Amino acid sequence: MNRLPAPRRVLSCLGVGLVLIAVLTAWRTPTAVSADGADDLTQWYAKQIQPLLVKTCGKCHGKMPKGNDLDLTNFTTAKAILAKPRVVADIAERLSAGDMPPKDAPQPSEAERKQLLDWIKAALDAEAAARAGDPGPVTLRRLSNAEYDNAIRDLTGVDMRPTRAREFPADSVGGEGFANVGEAMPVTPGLVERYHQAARDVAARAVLLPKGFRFSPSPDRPTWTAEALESLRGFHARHAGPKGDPPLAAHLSATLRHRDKLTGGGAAALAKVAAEEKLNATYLAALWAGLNGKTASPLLDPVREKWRAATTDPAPVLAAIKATQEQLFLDRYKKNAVLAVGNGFPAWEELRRVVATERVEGAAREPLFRLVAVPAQPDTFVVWDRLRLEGGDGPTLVLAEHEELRKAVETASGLKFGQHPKDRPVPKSALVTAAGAEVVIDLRKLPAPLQKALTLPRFLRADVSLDDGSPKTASVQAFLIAATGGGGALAEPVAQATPGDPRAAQIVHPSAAAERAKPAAEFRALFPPAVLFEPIVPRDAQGSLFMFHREDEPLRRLLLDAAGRAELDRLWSELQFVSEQALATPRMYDEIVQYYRKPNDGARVMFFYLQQFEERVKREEEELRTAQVAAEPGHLEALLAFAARAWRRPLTADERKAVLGSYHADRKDGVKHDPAFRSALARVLSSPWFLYRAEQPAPGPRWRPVSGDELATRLSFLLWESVPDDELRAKAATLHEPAVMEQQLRRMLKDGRTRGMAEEFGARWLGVRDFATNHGRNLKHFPEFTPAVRDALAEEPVRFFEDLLTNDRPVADVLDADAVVVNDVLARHYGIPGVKGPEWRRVEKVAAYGRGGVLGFGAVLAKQSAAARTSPVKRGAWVVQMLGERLPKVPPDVPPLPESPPAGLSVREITERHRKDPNCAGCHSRIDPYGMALERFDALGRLRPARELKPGDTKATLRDGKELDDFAGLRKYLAGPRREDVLRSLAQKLTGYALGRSVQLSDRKLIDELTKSMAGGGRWSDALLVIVRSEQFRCIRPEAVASP
Amino acid sequence: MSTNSAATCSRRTMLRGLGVSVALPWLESLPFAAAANAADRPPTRTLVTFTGMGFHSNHWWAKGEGAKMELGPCLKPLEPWRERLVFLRGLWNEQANNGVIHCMQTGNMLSGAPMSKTEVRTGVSFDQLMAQRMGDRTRIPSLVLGCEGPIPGLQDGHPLLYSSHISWSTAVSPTWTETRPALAFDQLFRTDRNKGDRRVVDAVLEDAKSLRQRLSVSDQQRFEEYLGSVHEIEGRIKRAGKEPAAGGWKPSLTAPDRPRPADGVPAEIPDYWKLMNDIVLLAFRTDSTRIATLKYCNDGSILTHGHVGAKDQHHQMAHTQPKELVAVNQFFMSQLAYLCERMAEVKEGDRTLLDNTTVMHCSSMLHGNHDAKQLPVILLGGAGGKLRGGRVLDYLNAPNRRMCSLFLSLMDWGGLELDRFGDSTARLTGL
Repeated sequence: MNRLPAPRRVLSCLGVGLVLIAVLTAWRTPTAVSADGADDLTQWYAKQIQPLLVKTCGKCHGKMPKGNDLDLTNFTTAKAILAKPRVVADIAERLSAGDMPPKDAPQPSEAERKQLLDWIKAALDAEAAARAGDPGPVTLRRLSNAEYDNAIRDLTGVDMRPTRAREFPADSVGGEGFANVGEAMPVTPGLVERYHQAARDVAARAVLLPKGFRFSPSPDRPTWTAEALESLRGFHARHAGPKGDPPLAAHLSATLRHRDKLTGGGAAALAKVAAEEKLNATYLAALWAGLNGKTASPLLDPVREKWRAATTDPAPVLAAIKATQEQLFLDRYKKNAVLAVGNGFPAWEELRRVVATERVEGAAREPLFRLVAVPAQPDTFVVWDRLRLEGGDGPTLVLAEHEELRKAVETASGLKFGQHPKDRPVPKSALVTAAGAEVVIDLRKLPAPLQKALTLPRFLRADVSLDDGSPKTASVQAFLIAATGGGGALAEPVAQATPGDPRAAQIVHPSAAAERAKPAAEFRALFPPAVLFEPIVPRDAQGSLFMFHREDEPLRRLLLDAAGRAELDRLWSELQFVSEQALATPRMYDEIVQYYRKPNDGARVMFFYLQQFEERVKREEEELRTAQVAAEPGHLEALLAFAARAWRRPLTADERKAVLGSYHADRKDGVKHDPAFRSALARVLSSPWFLYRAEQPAPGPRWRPVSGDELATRLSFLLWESVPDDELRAKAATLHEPAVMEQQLRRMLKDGRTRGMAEEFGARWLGVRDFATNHGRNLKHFPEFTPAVRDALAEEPVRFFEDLLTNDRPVADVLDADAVVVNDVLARHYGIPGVKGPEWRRVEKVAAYGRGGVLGFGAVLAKQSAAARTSPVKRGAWVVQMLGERLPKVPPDVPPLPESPPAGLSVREITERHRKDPNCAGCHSRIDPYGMALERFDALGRLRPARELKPGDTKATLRDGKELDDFAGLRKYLAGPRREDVLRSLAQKLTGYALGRSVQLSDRKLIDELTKSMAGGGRWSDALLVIVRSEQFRCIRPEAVASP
Repeated sequence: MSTNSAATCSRRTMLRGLGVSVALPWLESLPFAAAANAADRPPTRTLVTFTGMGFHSNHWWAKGEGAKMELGPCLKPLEPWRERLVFLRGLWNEQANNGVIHCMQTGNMLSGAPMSKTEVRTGVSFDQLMAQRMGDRTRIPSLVLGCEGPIPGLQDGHPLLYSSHISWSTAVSPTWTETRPALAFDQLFRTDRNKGDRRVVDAVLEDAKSLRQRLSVSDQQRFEEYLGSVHEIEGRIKRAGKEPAAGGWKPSLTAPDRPRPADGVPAEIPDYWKLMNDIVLLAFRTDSTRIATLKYCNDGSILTHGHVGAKDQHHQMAHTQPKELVAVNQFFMSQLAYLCERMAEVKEGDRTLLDNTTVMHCSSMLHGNHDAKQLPVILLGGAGGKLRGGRVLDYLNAPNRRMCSLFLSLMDWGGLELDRFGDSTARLTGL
């Protein structure tokens, strides 16, 4: 076999098979080719090589090829044969390996053989140099499944994985073994139909907002509403406690601890303390101002005093605040009270209000009213103005304005409208009573027609104030008691007159009201017990008129700056917009009102109570409809922006029109905005502009740089397997500048989206991309191969590559990193102690566990095993592939090894027995030793206990006589003498992946450069920079170039 | 494929010639052989079934004739149907012997076409040629089902796509092979297409037109595959809800007689395969299509048939040939027995559905050692009165033993008469 010198060295050591690129790239000794070297080669071919080729091969590879499809006599010129470099390389491979011409055919002389090989080498060298940088033929690519899913994820912000949901055909691979190669991307009606379905699925998940739209994992509006609520609650939770309580204690504590700093420090000191303590600056400033208030405030002053006296413990201050809060606030968080909130009551009611005029009301179910004002005070008179029946059926009935009723009331009460007991002036519509008096108005004896005019039940109301002549210090509580029982607290807010009732306002002299209301108002403003209604949805929303209840004035005032208020308003408007609740409330209103509208039932009181909200319900519905219409143009603009992102380039004016074409056509047909918008969105994602990575061929005869947008797309699909993000798109125009490219590449490498490359390059390179579904493990034999173990094994290579890429580690770490990326499940599987918890992490110094680099990946070791035992043959073949060598075809009729070794024999022994067959030995002496060195790993990739191995089981002798022992020996061998071979093979794969095609002769220089970088300790960014700056990556072939 | 001149007359090719902007009504202008007056008689259905990696090398045989026919152990489940059975020995696909095992023997199973070793390219399969030429008579042109999904990856540089697809719509596009019962059911009975779908398709075609202009000539050709697919979707939308032409014959079912299967795939292989058989039967009974392909498993199948006591994956067993392989092979044949049984129950005029169907079962190699020099093939059913069962035909030493010659006859019976197909210009003698 050793008949040839130089070029044979490489060729022969690879035996029969040799990957093309090894031929194409391994001969790096430059042959002196003169300036007119091309001419020399041409003439050489014409004069000597072609006749020699015909003589040596033409008998079988002639005009009528026998049992093959290769005619080697047809290449009359060097140019013709060099147009097929694969054929040329194949000739060299078969010739040098000695398997062509076949043993039984006439053999060329040694000199002839050498001459053929020398010419091929020189010609391929010249060709590689001449065409270096050729972008090559890159077949039109559609998005692979991974690319499609990632693109949808990055466009929508939701990881929907439509290709799984719609069961797209699995990706197949081509070129150098990756799923981004046009030739391996068939398109069928079934696939196109899935594209359209998936686009509709995505469009169904668009959530229209007052401004633009977002996406949800769900196509259901209730879920979108829940998401909007969650955002709002998240905002709430950042500002208030679980009951809507403000973070008073923390802020109060800060005012005490930093009292010195804050005193006289002004706004700057407040901002600084807030920042240091991670407190709300607005709230801190409000508290500080309130606590240091100089104006006397009867309810605040005791708190201020406690505060001044306090050291750093806020407890006494808090206690003082709490005591006053209890006097001034009533919360409605008790049973039934939350139901009340859903029906229009405030969650927090102010107690002990002080007013000049109070609208007093009672639920009137029969015509027996009582007017009570307590307590009795000297010379104090109460004015009951516009005593009236309101709500329920019929217009407001002011009793004084109804001739007969006025008289009846006057008769029954003994009072006269418009008449003061002391003849002071009062309005004509008012009755006046002395404080302390109880006036009964019994109209039950009225004639039937008059009774009818009352149309009870309704609210009985009056506007109550003190007579101007009363003492300035006077104060009463007024009650209109109209019901004779029943109805409960909800239906009849005040059913009886209770002197001192904190919910009934103190009505004071008009001139004193403002002053007397001030202390409580000042306290309430600074120390509300809650700043918002935390549940948002009242507890029993089913029975409520209003689904959402907003009560957050204190939050806005005390805790939010302008931006915070805008954010809060945005969240609320999104909740209202997304839930479309205002469209549902009118229906709810009608239903509830109908339910309560029963004659003579206590519950009917609810009817006229709820009736108060009719106007609000209508207004809110109208407002939402207006908001919806107002939002439409914004949705269309956002859709156009979305299309530009999805199509990875700006849209032309015509395209903008076309994108909205279906929308406008739908609207013309009477389709509503929402469905028409979704159709248009589905149309954007069904478009070939999204589905295909179309690139415009270069004009003119030579390859040219692609456009900035196209280059940005190439870059993002390389690193992320996804569409460019906004920053990359913004830089697209200048991306051909090396500095910009480098800056973007480094930025993008750090991004978590490099997982795309880890999966589609890393895991595919190792052949374990589909490990989770296609691991080949016999589950009955390996009960310990649980889904968790399986998934962890499948995940490890991806995590490993993610770690390499995002931390920009040396490329050669794939071989000799003394580190592993594991979670608890995998660490247990590997026997690595001290790893707890499901999160993935890098663990160093793992050589003792047989890990570090790709050779220790359990997924690889398991996949390259038989179903129930190890397979040195499979593992060895995998290593051969890693070395960039190709194995010949498996000959037919090869008897397989038994699935389970016969008793007493080890896997090594059956494998060795098999190798004794001289027909097998040729290849298997090349393959099996690598696998033997990995015998310490079982068929699940675990280290075997020593007792399972016979002595020498892990020893191997390579074909060249080199001894290897165990995985450590193999790793040393691969990372040592074979380092460059492994890295060259990796460089070839990386090139093929980056370019989306098979590597070709003209890539030799690029692969050389890459290999050099990798072997010299280069990092992933170094290697990737070599690629992204190469002509191949940045350029595109012209329209019509002869494809070699 | 230059050798496949009949196939080149497909609608897709015509579209290619006519350019992008012309949307052809689905096949309206193409005449068919044997279509005239056919409406009064029940049509002949064509069903191709496939299992990978052949059969046990010692137990796949048949001899004798008619009721006295003897069947090898692998064929035992078909004993009740031997008088409807034709056992064919010695057929081959010459092109399947030129390449890597498994994938290169499977991708051209039904086309006989050469297979490219550098890209995915072979020929249109005869079932899909029938679908393209005659498929507009029914709701869907053909039903292509599988009970094992494709295995991604390369075998010695060749996509394993070849191993898992026997139906090919174009030279470069394997036909979508539905493996989900529910989605297969939807193919037959879904009608919820609307105007929105139409608008999207129209818009997509507009986009495609402008995108195509930017492409190089070679990519434009590549892009035809997509355009053809969109046009087919367009056709489907147009056809949706359209009833087959009125005629004397009416299918035995007008609507499905069973609910839509659950989403996903049944856990047990026998349940799964039976369900897929039932969907084929349903398709034929409702005349949703007349052409069906059911690939029970891939060549290189990784299924483990534990339900008949097998311990290893089918692929492994094909090599080692343990006795359980016979049980596995019998399980395959029991699928056909089930189909025969059910089809014989369906009355169509004075015949049964079985009389009106041609079932061809085939595999990619005779047995597990990658021998594609002769293939295991059997026919079942009456082919509309044109096929007589109870026979063993040996072509091993005949001058013409091409699978494509058999396909010419299958197409004749199904109503598509061609002069040539694949590598054949003549029908088998004595069939």
